[in-house]
Amino acid sequence: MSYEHGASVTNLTMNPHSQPSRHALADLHDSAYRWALACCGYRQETAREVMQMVYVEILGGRAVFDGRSTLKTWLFAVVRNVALRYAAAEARAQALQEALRRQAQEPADDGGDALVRGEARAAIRAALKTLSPQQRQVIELVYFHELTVAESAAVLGIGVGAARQHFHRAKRALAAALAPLKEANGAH
Amino acid sequence: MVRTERPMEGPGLDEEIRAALVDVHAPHAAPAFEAQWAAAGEALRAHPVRPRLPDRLFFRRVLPAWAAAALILAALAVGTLVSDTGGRGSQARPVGSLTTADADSAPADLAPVVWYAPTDVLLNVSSLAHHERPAVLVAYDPIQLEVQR
Repeated sequence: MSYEHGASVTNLTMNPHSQPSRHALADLHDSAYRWALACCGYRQETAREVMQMVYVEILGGRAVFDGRSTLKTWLFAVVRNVALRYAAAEARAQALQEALRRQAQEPADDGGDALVRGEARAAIRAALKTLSPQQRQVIELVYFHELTVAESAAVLGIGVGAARQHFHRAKRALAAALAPLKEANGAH
Repeated sequence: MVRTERPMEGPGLDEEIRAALVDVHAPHAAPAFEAQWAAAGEALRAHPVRPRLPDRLFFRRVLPAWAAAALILAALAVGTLVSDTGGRGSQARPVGSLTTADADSAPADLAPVVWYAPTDVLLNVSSLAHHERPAVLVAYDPIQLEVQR
């Protein structure tokens, strides 16, 4: 990928052998943003900033696609790494503001519940919050972003066996969240 | 359909999980790609990013291995050099022990230098009194001993 200081954005070109095309990144932008959202605790402003930093890393040549995985897996891994760095910096520098922001966001989470249709989805949504961060991320990557467990492991930077363990434990926890509803429906 | 390596357990659970995640993402709209891409370009122009090391694997594993190998080879070379130049006995062959008082007073750590007689015969100094042979000069630096017959 070549980038010259002062060149306009439209003149940016990418070497197809070392960097993905702008078109390919544009196609994955929505998915990547939603993955950033999951990595940032569903905070939109943080996710936007993370995506901004991801594109700076790609344009600046610090994140290079080497072709060893799919483009989606690589991009998601970059998003996760940037989100982790951002979260660490944010936690160090703005601990108090983070607590206040969480308090301010709680009503929004309650408002989000209003959009949930059906008790089952509400139960699963509540159960998702009780999962460990890695379990929740594997579930999101597999079910929402349609990656395999192996690809999820690559995104998260963990072994495939560990990813499978997170996945199956998360599924058991989510199934357990639905069990009381099934019993109640069966009783009726 | 969820892409996993194992058969699904309960397609109903999978659908519910997917639907729940769709609900979670529903309130959020992704920002426009073009806007973010352009903003990233502007940010880079304002604050250029230092390029990362070209190959992390090279600097983390390969270079340290080479450095270790180079150190070992250097140590072997130094050790070989020291053993070749060390010791004072390599250039001289002791002719034998001298029985003269001067020889006894010569420093023990100085190796004798053997001077060959014209007939290239080496004689033990102590045996010179018994043989009709050319003299062998044995010199201890700085003490020089000369035996003549």
